[in-house]
Amino acid sequence: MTPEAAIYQWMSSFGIPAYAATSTPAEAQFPYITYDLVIGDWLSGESNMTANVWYRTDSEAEPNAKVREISSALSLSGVTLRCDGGMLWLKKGSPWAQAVRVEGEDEKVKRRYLNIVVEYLATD
Amino acid sequence: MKFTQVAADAFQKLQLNASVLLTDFDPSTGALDRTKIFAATGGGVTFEATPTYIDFGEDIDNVPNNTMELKQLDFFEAKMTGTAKTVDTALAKALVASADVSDGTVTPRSTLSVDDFVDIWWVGDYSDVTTGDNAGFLAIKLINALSTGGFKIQSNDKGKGDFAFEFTGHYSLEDIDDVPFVIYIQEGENADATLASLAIGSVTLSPTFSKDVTSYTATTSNSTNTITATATDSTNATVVIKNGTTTVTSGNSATWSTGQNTVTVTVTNGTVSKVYTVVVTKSE
Repeated sequence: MTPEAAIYQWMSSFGIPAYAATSTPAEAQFPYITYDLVIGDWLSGESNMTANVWYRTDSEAEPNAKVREISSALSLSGVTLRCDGGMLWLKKGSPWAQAVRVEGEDEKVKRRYLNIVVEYLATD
Repeated sequence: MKFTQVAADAFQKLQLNASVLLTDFDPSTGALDRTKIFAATGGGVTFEATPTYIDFGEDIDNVPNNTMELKQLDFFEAKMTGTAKTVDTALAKALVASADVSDGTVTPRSTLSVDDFVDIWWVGDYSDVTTGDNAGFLAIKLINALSTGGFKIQSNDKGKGDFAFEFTGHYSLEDIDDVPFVIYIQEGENADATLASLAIGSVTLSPTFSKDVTSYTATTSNSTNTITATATDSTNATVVIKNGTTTVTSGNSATWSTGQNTVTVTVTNGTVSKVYTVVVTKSE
């Protein structure tokens, strides 16, 4: 599995669709996750990757619960994902998550902006 | 470039994260008992084991220093240093070294007791498998540890207090040759989420079943067939069979529609899962 596929698979493991930000369909139905893919290699060190959790709801609790679910998956120490040639290490960035008002959308659209640090520990 | 290379298994030999300090740990199981956590630390923990040598060639004419046949190990100075971010009476007692605890009071003593020497474990994540029962670890047992850094508290305005520590391992007269530290390195092992067998009645799978092959095709004229799937780790792994969206219990029959039917068999063992797919084509 390529590193990009490993990230996609992990992002897709939270019960709602996930899309690379560059491949988000116009007709994507809420809720969903988008993420800005960062590609690196063994020598890249840590890179910052962002993800967004999108909901259309009156409730602030729903997107917050999804953020907590992702936070739990990342745990205190991050998560390692196997991929071709090694693994990826995903960790929480700082600040971990922020609620963001979406300009131009109705107030039911809730966005949570996540900072994720990714380290490529793969030699391919 | 020729000499800018990384070993293919380098990612399986990394120590990750800050580690945890424990009062007890069993490297034969690798199980973490959170009640044994000594203290939360900040900034990681340093372990150093520095050997002191005697060079018998130093004062012999015409023999250079560092002649290996004349070198002898005297002893190891094994130390664990860092900063604790939490404190309770147990840690305070350990930091003071010679002290007694009673009703929340830590009373220093002017004499050392053998009981003041305790084992301390440094255990950190290791390798690419860092979760589950088979997670890798690097553990260091500091034997007969005694606080040699004393008790220090550094309070911080609008911040958490720091308790710098230094523990030193000690030899014992009970066995003077036992060096006061041991290092354990255990690579993690992924849980086994493979199938040992997969059969759909007497239908022939193509290719022939192998636990490492996840995609198969089959043809049948039967309207139903019994599906049996057995996990390699039948004790810990679960197997979920679906014919399309219909769940089929292993050993029971699946009903085929004319044309292609997709059977998925998902094996889950801890955090590891593997999906096998069989496309069964039923003829008219």
